[in-house]
Amino acid sequence: MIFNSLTFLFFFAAVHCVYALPLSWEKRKIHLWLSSYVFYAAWNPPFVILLWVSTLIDWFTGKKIAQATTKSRKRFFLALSLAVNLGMLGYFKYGGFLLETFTSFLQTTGLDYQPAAPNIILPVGISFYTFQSLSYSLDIYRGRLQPWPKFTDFAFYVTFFPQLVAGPIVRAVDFLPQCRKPRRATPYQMGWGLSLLVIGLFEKVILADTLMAPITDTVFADPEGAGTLDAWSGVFGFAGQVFFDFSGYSLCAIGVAMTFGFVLPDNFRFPYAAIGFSDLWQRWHISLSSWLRDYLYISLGGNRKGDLRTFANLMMTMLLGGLWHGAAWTYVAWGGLHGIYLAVERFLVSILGDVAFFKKKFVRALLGLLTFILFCLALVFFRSQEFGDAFTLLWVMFWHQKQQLLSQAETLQVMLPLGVLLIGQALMRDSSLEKVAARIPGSLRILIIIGALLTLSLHTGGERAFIYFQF
Amino acid sequence: MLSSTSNSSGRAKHYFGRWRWSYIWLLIVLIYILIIASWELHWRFRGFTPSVTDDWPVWSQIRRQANNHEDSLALVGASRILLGLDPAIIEKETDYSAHMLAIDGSNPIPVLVELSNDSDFIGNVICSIPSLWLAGDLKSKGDRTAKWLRKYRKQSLSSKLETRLILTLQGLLVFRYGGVTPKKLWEKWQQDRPVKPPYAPMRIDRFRTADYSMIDLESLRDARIERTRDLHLKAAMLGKEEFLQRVKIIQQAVERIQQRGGKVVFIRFPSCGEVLTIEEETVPRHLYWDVLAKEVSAPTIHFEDHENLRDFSCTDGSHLDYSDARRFTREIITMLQHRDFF
Repeated sequence: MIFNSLTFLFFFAAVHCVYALPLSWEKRKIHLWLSSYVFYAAWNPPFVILLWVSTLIDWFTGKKIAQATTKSRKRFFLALSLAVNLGMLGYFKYGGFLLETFTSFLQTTGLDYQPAAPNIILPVGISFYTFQSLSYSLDIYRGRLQPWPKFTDFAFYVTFFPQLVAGPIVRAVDFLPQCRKPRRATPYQMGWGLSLLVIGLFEKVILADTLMAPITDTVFADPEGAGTLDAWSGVFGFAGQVFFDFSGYSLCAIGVAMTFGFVLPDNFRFPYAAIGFSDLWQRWHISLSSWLRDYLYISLGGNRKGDLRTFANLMMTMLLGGLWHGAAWTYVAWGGLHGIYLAVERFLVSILGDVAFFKKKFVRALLGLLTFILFCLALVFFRSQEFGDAFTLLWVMFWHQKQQLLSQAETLQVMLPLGVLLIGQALMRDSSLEKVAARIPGSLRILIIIGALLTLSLHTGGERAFIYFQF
Repeated sequence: MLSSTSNSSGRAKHYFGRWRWSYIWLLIVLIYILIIASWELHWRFRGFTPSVTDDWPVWSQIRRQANNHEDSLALVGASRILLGLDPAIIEKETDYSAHMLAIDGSNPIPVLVELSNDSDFIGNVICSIPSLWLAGDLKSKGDRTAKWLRKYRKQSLSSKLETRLILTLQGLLVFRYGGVTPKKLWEKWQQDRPVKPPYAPMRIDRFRTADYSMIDLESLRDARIERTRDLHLKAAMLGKEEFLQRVKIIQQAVERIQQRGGKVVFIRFPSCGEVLTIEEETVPRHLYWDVLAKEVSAPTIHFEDHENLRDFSCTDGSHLDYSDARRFTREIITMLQHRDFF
């Protein structure tokens, strides 16, 4: 079930009712754990088995890694965890893609090979929970974590429903210690958690789905019919949509977890105010970028082995990061572009980083804008179904096309909220949502929450799944 | 927080630790309920009634209910049956539970075929096939039905639950009607169009109760004639062989339902005036309806053949007003009872 549904509302209320009962901490944890299976099974019950597999394998390998007395034995069990988790991910997410790529390759060599369509259904959230579960084995292997004594706590960590299907990807070292002592939400956790849930839903349902998505869909469905302004509106619209959609989900997840007394890490920190791409990746999908940094980039050698190797490591990390998002070459291209951005930035900072001119406010603002524009250009590949569509749209964006796909009102529908978003994020760049909320007068805060609640209640549009569910 | 990444909870404690959140949320809930109740009453005083927003999940919900019951009656067709045969009256006056499976403006034949292919469906069928769908070669126009059927088969458990909840709310609350959402109101305000109650709201059982006194009938009738002409003239009608092939598909579906103990009846709903003339000109009865009636092993009822059905005046030329629909439903029930259908 998704957060922007009535089913979730009832589920959330029911889970809270039981959680509030005077039960032991063990029983309340087990209640949350089992409820999480119900949450996940609402999509497709058999896929709960994959969750069990991921949970059992990392529980088992984690123990074995810790018990192993030789390096090779540790490596063997880590490899087992990686093979099972990434094997599942590979089969369900990339099976069709690999077969398609292989078929295309054979066809270019003149072999007419036509295999049957694999017809594999992608289990929702598999990319998130396999990475989350893997972090447990990886941290034990690296000596950062000892095997957790209670299986139910570990299974609860892998399954906890607020972050199960689209993150934030929580590390075992961050979550498992929270299972030790009984937790009930404090009044501020309950109050702020519910507020985050409402703000997140507003971002998703109203800003992403109602304002941005229709424009994005129109432009990306017909890039050839778009004029230059339409193309920019469509791409900016998608930048707005993907941010509101995913940061909205993350806020909901963090808020819902908080109402049970659990703490999840931030996933977004005003990313469109980033100056440069290394700054951007510390603000955008933080839980994934830090996962890739800690478990992939650093494992590959990070920046410790010279400039060329650093560049190769960056590219490898971002290409795989792109592929993590979706089984298509367009996602790989998106990741590749980010790898190039990061490498070029690294080079420029090494030669120009100390120049005072680049520290002026005005120049930093321009660099921030440039970062956003470059981010949007990469998004063209992220959103397009095919390379042909992406290149057509990029052509239309940079070579003036007179035709018109969107009305003036539709263009404004994207540009106005996006302008507010960019300015707002620039102003809050070094702040936090809590700090900003604390500055707003109390009555206005209440009105904002009521306004968001009313808009959500009166909105009856069809529910769209969160974009990141497909990843 | 225990990790290197910061978290909202820690900062929230710093900024909001002293707030009286329980009072804040109590106030929020009270004001929210007050505004929502006022909004609901506002629309009710303006003559609005609850109306379901029709889409594939709603259809799928009703479709599933039709399975596994011998006393289940599926109502298949397009808009004419949606406005013309009231499931509530059928349920009241017979032992059958009626399920409205008609899809507005769409080809009903794939629905009939789907019912026949589903061994869990063991009930009866009343099928209304408008002339266009009977004789027209309209593959692309049937996409909506195909899409709904495809999605029905793949509907997830959460979507089923969600549909139940949405249907319940839409059946109770006017403000959940799609025509009074903030977005729709904004669009109407921009276009300087008045906000009026829907003339054919959809009930929770997917029946539309049409009240033509609520709209400008003259322009609706003109638009209906124009649309009928447009659709009928654009569509290439099937030749004799192709039509017989279509009838064969229908007959096979009928046989499959009959083999499971079910019964099927085909009804040609009333159309009037210029709409009827266009239909007759493009899809002559003797070439199509009469052939269907002869070839299928199920009874057929053409409104022109029965005095009690002939005098219905379809207000917009194509559909029945609710006052007529009630009477029409009762007439059909009586006729079918005489034919031992119920």
